[in-house]
Amino acid sequence: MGSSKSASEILRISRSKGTAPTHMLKHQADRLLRISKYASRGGGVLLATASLGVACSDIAHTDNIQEKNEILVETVGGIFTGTLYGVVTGAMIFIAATPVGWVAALVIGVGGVAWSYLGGKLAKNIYSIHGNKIDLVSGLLVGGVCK
Amino acid sequence: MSEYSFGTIAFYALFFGEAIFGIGMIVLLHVMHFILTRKFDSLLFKEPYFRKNELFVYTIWPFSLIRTIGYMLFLVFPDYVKRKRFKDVELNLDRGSALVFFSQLFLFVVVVESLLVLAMIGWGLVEMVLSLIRLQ
Repeated sequence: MGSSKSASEILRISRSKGTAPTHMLKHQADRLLRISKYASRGGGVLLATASLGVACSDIAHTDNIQEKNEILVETVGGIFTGTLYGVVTGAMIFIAATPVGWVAALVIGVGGVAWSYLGGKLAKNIYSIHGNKIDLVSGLLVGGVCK
Repeated sequence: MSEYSFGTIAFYALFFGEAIFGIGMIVLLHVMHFILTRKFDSLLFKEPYFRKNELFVYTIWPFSLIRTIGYMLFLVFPDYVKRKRFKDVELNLDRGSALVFFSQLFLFVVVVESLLVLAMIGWGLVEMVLSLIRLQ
């Protein structure tokens, strides 16, 4: 910095003044990354809780015992079919060493929902044919929780 | 015994089996995630074993569980996974170690759960086809 330069010019090219905005941007980017991780974690837990909550609410608002049990069987069948799909797909992705991009993440998500739906509906169908009207909701104390 | 048909008994065996093994699978996966990520992340969770975006995505739940599944596969099938992903990594783990045992247990639970879920889905599809035939 020569003395020939004006004060504003020195300020403009000052190293410390030049790095400050980058530092702020990096700080904000790190903060966003941190928030997105918490949001994702919270979102997953929220979705799982919401799906159980919806099933619980449906059980509570249905008077018919058979329907209550069908909701329970459908929910249980759906949750475990979807989870298993996630575990198996995860193992395959890991072995294939394919990086998980947004498309792969979407495929896992949509596939999980589809398998979950199929598993739930088919379990409910078998229960309605072979379940022999055994009251699982009362037997497993689900009725006491979801009322 | 005569009160319940074979179909009823088979359905409840499948239903409760699916629920018990499913809960076992979820609990075991999260417990192993807690242990294995602390033990192996510093050694394995880096380039060149994982690509840059994997290093980001696999830190976010539920995708973070994929790396735990990978570590467990590595413990159970070290030669195969080494060829596929962890080239030149030597774990020097005792074959009878608790980590290997619980990884094997997890894979066993996944296999049993898969069989139960596939049986339920297969049976459900057969019942659906039968009811469609009955309707016609």
